[in-house]
Amino acid sequence: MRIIIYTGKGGVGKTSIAAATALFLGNKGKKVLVMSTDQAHSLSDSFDVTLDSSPREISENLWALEIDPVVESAKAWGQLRDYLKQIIRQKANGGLEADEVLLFPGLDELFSLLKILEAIESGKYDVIVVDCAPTGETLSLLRYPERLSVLADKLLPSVRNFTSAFGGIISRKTTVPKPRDEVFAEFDNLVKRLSRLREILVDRNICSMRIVMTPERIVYEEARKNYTWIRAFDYAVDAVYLNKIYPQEALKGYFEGWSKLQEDIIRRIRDSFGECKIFTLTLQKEEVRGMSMLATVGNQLYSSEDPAQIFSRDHAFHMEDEGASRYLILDLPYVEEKDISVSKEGEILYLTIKNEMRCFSLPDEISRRELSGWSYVDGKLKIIFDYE
Amino acid sequence: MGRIIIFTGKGGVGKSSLAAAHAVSSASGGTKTLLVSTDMAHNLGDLFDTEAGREIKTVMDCLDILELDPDWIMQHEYPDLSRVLGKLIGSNSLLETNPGDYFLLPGFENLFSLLKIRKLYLSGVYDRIIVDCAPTGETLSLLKLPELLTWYMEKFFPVGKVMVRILSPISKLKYRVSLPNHKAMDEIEELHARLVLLQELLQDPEICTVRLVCIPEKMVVEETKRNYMYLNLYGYQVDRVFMNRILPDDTGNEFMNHWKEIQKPYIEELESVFVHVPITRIPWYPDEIRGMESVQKLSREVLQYPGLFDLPPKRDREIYITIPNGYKLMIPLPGADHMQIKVKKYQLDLDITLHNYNRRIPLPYILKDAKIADLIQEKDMLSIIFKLEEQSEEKKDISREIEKRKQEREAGKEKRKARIARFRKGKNGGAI
Repeated sequence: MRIIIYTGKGGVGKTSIAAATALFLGNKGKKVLVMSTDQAHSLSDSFDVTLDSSPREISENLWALEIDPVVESAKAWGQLRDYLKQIIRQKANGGLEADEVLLFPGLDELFSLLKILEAIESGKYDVIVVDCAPTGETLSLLRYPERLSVLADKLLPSVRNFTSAFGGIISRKTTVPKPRDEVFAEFDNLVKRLSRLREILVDRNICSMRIVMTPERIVYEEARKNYTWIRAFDYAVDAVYLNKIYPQEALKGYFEGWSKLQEDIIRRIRDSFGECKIFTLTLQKEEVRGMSMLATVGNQLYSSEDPAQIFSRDHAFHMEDEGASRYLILDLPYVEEKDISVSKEGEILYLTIKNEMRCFSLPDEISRRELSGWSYVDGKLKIIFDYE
Repeated sequence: MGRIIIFTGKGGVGKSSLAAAHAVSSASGGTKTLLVSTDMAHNLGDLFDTEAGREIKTVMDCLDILELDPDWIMQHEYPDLSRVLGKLIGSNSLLETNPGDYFLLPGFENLFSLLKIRKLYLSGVYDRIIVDCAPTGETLSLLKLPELLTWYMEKFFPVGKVMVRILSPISKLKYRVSLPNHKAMDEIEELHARLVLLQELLQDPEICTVRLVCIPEKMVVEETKRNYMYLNLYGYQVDRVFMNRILPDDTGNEFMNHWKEIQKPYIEELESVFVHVPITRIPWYPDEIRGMESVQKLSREVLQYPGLFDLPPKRDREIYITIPNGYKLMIPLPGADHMQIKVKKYQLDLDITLHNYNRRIPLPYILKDAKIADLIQEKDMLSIIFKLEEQSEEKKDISREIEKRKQEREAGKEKRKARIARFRKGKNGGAI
């Protein structure tokens, strides 16, 4: 069982690469499902077939689907959302704008990922290839399972008790309806499924993230940031794809100056992604569309490699001892010291970088110690633990 | 009255360069201008060959630049609000030591940058504020929420404050929940009021307009349409679109000349979406825009269109009205009753064909499965009636699935009750 998730900002060609990879693996005899969280139907366009939210066999051993975030989000939290709608609709007539904003566009992407869990549970596939929403959004959503479990563990029991005790009073005084038990139960269930999904996605023997980029400075810088964050959240990145490299013939004449810029960026990319495998693909003569074009691209990419293999298992963190102190060392390139804050509560270590937080569950041998400090040198964050 | 112009578009399409070029043009004309970036991937510093950051920096006569960091703003300019958000989530030591840890809707953080921009606007120091912004459609749509919650703020909060006073000691003792205190409730009301005022400012057609930057590539075109749909739906004024990276007629090689052909349908699609919005085409420069000189060059070569900072002419926009089991979309169209109009819907696109032009309107998600039920042509208005579809097989499956889970939950309800009872008992016994 393998899960390969392609991510990258819009326009870098990650759908084409996901589709070509899935087709290549299917042709090699693996049972493959490829799915897209993208709203613009780029997967249907790539394969040149019609797709919907149920898997469709589009060539031998290859199934494809396009996730409908509206449907997925109704499945995930329909009742809670209806409760919110009920609260708002009762008094404010917001028309279609209100209905639309209550779909919470950003959250849909998160719930779309639950479709991966369904595919795993079906047990039908050897490889699941996911074409994921653009970088920024994906990033900000990956942290939610952790935050949601904070909510579910700490807040939900309190709120439930609180509303069961005082809900009656609130309803009478204000006509704010009291949420039904189903709303809580649904939320509970949602959190469980999200946590289960996260468990699978952080398992580096199953799941690899792959970042797709083009040789342009801004795209490269965003990809680098993305790389740091995905790893800080403990997901494994095992390969990066450098797509749409202009071939020499394209840089004759008007674009001659571009040639040096491109070389420079490619050099920087080769130095920036640790042990990741780097795949390269030149800009094709046409837009990548249709089975034969995808097969060509797949053969160009994987002439000597099996794309389903795990190219790197590099861990973003490890432990070291020095005297009586124990260090947790995180590989965390490209951040600034002033943006880092670290704290520990019980067995949980909280790491905040700028406005992003993640929690590490510490193993016993560390969690009994106290956090006594940290340092950030050469892209490595060293967190020091001591007994009092 | 000051002017705010928001530049928005995906990273890599050139919006920062364009925002910077506008800022330079504005300042060169002697208008006191601020260029501010809210994009997390700031690059104003690169563009002007200087260190830019949280402090305002003057880069030329009449031009200051600033890079905003929403988290820093939350913690330093709205420390009380940050604490309130922490309290809303629940009081435990963790959240108090890490004031940045709230569960926020995606896009919500950007609202703090926008609140800061309102503050800068009200300070009156600048005649023009030019904002270099990440895609804003979804963020601006969130500004609808405070308005929707107004009734509850007015009704619930007075009651809420009284209740907090009475219940707070009980709830703390009995349920270990700290209710927000009286002061915190005041601050929530204040945040609510500020967000409502922010929406008013950004929707004021005399003050604020949005300019979209895109390139003629499939994915970018789709994202631009979506962004435009949100901006339109929530009542913001889009007054210009910049189409960047247009290949020159002859690139000197066949490979790129062929890509010029591939660009064509995307340029046409953008033109059919932005029928009423002026489009400026920007050539694909064979080098990077970096440093003051290249920004000035861009300002000289591209921003020669008249009325660079003028307000757009007033235009009636399309509106949606809720009807039973559907929505009515009303599109202002002078002389609509005399025209041969063809309307076709393809998922989230609505194509309107008149004898001589074609217009494409991106639709909100909610209409994805809706069907066109009727077309009403009146004097100056075309109305389209959308009916929400009968449940599809897939959706029926889902309803069944939801129903099944509901039953399972029912079955588990008794168990849960028992568990809660045990949980309470544990609390009273002081075991937890």
